[in-house]
Amino acid sequence: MTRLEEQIRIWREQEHLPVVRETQIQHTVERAKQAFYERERAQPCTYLSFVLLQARFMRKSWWVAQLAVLAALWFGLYTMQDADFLRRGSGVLISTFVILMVPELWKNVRTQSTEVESASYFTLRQVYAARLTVFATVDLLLLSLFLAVTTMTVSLTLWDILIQFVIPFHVTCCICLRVLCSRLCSEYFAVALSLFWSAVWMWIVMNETIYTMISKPIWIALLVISAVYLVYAVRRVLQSANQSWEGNLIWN
Amino acid sequence: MDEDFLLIQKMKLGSEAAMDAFVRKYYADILHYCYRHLYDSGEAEDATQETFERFFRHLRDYRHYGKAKNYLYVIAGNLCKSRYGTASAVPLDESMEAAGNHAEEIAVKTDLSVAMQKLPMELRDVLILHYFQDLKLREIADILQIGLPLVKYRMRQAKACMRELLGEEEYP
Amino acid sequence: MELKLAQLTKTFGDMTAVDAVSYTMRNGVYGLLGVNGAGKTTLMRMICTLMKPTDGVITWNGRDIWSLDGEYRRVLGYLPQEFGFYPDFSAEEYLLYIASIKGLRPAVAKQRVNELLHTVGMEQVRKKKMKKFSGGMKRRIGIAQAMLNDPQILILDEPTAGLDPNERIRFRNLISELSEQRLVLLSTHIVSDVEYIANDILLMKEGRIACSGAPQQLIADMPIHVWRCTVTKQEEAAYTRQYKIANMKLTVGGTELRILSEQQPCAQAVQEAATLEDVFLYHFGETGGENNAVL
Repeated sequence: MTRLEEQIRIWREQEHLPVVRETQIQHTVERAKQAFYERERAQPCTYLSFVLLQARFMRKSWWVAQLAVLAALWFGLYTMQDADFLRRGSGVLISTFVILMVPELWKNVRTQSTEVESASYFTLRQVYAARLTVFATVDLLLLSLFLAVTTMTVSLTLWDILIQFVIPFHVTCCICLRVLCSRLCSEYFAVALSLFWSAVWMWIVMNETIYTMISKPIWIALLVISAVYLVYAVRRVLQSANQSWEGNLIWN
Repeated sequence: MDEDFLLIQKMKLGSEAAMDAFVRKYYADILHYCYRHLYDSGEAEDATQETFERFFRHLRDYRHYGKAKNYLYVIAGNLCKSRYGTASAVPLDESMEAAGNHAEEIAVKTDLSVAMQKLPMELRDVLILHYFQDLKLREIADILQIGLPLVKYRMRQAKACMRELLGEEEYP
Repeated sequence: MELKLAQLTKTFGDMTAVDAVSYTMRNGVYGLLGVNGAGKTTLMRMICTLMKPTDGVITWNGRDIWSLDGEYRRVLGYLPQEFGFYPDFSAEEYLLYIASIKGLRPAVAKQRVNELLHTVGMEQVRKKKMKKFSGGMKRRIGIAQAMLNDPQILILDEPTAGLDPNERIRFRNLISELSEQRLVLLSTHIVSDVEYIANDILLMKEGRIACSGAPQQLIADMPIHVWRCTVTKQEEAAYTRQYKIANMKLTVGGTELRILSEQQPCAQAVQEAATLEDVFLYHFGETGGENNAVL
């Protein structure tokens, strides 16, 4: 050790450092907290944080149910390996998959909490957008997982997937979203209509004559139209969200 | 993962217990650091409080890449530098009183502290950070936002200045 | 702070709910009095940007609230008459949810929820599900959610409807406390709710502000007087037909009537000091009391 270091060592032994006072610590903690909260209060939440928070408040049990439906569908496909089942079962189960989104989407309307939610910083429109985003993301993950596992274990072509899964999926989504922003905004109506659609679909695909009559271009057209309408339905929901109070004669 | 990572995350979400724990963890170190720059306990306490206040005010933007402790040193260092003008000289009577009869020690103290005060701020800082706050040179480089070679250079300069001021000759 | 309503009008088809209302409000408590159907809720909904006015403009500190958009709603707190909430959420969860849609950052949300649960006295039941709460407790959560963003403007639509007298008093005290630095607009058809806490009363009738001012002023401005007299049961019917009766009380000596009339209705009638309830009766032709709370 050098002479300097030795001197420093001696100095440190004799140093009279200030004692750490409990009152001072508490005071510092208080001031620090205030500074933190002041800054946090100054600006609102970012939209991304908002979307993530919305996910937190959505009941996860519906996603578990959706996973269960997909698992059942996969199981059926895997064990049966039967073309007929493919046509029959899939349409209905995909409808069920979509219908499981209905309770969460309808939550605001069902509980009549839209009044409070329309007067807040993030309005109803943004709440719906956030919920749809969360659902879209989660469902995309679930469906991708399902398709990945299914294509590995069951002999399905891309064509089969598009026709048997994607078309009924699109149409059921369109039905649910369109009912959400219509005047008759009833959960039961949405579900009933969706089930009706899946019955119709089942009839189309099971009926050999009709099924063979529909050629490839028609299937593709159906696919595109349903996709376009889905986009339109989403936009309708978002646009009409904040206008739910207009045109309502409220007797007060 | 750094030990403070979880703590910082909890703090960002508003856990008051985490905030309390964080302040208590580093309060003493920062207090002593400030004292070694400012030589006054009152001023050191003020500077320490303000250091934590500033840290918390910008907590939202804080990205935990390095050590939170080092970042606290950065803030404290800047605060001490701006207060440097108002810092008073070492109260010589205090140190004399405490040292008792050890004449040599009194002499060491007085010389050492006076010499250190005479150093330019940046050289004094590296000495304090290394020999008093027990930080490694690499950490000092991180805090001062300079390269390791520059830290070593300043260290050498600081030591050389001190030797000159103390009129000493180095022996191995 | 200044909230200005200028020629505010709202029509639904050929029915006018709010008719050219103009008023300026600053901080303090404003009581919006009126019977059901007077247009109170529509007016409040417009102030809360739920509905766009058919005509007229609302400005906050000189700027149109529709162009201010989110910035305006950040300083707004609203408790609607039909307060819908999520029954499966606990009180704490619900408040945190509303905090999130009010744009509060998570740390602030947590702090505010704790503070407000304490203010409304619901700390003990914070984990309890909303569906298990009584009407009064739900209203308390309602007011807590309105206060989450520490709003400068607090709009409360019939907040005491359905509450028992004790809860109503508690509510009144709470509002009084909260109105310190705020603009509170409180609508009700129960006069006693606002009589003591409001700085200004607005009487709304058929979409218009019939009259407005401090309670004492409204009482003083009333063109007719209040009389008290005791009549027999037989005379009762005649008096009821002829005059506006504010109150009827059965006593040993007969029926004691509180009558609103310009002239002395009978020889033994004694003039009494008018109250705000009398003003309400005079304008609306019906008593604004708790008896009519069922409406």
